Amino acid sequence: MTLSISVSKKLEALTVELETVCPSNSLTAIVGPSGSGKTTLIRMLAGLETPDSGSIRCNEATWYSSSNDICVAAQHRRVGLVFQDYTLFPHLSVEKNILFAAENPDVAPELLDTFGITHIRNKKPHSISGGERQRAAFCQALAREPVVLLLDEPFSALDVTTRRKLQHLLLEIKTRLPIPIIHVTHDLEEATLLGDTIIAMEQGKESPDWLNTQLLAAHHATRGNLPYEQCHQCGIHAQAGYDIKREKNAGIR
Amino acid sequence: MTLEPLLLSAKLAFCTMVLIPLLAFPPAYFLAFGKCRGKSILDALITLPMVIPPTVLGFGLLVIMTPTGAVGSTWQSLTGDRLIFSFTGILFASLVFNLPFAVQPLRASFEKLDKRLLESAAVLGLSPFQTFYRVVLPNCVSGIVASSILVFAHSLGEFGVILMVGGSIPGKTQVASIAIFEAVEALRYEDALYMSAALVPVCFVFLLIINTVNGRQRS
Repeated sequence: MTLSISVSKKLEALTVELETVCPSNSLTAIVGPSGSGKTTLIRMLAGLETPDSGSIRCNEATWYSSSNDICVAAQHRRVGLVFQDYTLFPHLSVEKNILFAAENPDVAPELLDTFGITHIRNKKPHSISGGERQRAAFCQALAREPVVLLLDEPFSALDVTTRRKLQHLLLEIKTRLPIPIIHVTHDLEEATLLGDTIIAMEQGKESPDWLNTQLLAAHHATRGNLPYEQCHQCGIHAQAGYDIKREKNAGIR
Repeated sequence: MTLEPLLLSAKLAFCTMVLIPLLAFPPAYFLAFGKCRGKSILDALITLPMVIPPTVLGFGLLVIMTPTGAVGSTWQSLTGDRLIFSFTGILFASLVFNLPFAVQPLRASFEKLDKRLLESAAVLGLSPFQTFYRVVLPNCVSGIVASSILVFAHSLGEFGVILMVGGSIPGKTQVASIAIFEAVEALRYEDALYMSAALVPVCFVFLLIINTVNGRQRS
């Protein structure tokens, strides 16, 4: 499963543009400051917004193509989407939320177990914690057996401890998911922790310079005046072109 | 005093309450979630019966419901019955008159719904119709209940429009409000008092239910 993206959309203040390929078993972290167009990009991939031009292809299927006038509706893209805030259906229990769009009802017990929320399966979303709601949202997105998993700052509304737990849970389950995962975040540390590929965005466009500046600033803040080269030795480097890739098992720290 | 006008009022109010969702849901949904320019025109058209005098609305309905009018002639050709001065006629008028009272609470209820739930439903593969009955309706129950009760209570008190299109045929179109008016005209104050005394507590209880439902929704 491979997701090929080449899209452009003009917003009021900026134009969002991205061209990349997201392979299976891989998490692409899209990082950038607020207002850089990350969420718009995720929404275009999910089919909630239409690009002005370009194409989105998932394997052989074309989800969007401006040249061929194709735009597959969100209902038919089979993506899993986890929003920044909790969007579980308030009238349903956690288990019914998970089974809401699942074709196979047998997936629920396993997902509940994997995410450690079996004990709250009969509770309504308003009576559980933020972390539990986001775990349930992950289960709901995965229960549909999506071909792509899209994560729109899923941990940003959580406290630090819960965020850490869920980040590590995502690291654990991503190895078992044979699909591309696209994770949008403004947290550079989160992007470097989770991402197999990191794409920096600023003002709607890919910006390797922004990422390098942020990495350098992070090193200055945590370790003092580290030379820029040491950032590269930590495993993060800008490649020729626009991909910034992080070598496996490397981090900022 | 005869109970017939009170029972007829209750029957009219009940039938209006049951049928009006079919007419009110589509415009309320469109006004809440639609994005096209015609929204304000539709909004004004639907709210119109709320602000124009009931006699004006009643006269307009009378014109279109006569056997030569657009609605009346169509009805007659379909059923063979006359629409004017019949229970079906006053029910039709009641539906038109009550439409804004049903649409506005529904619209408010739909607008309060978190739009991301609709997006989430779309991403999870639900069609717009499935989203309506699996997500919108269950989360707007209190708005739907409030709208229905408001329509029921409002139907009980209808006078001008019903009088214009239904006249005052006992057992057929003479609802409680018209019977009270006629009792007063005929100086039968006792009858008017009993019928009024029967209507006031019913309306009071229904408004109490609306307030309770709205209170729960707010909390």
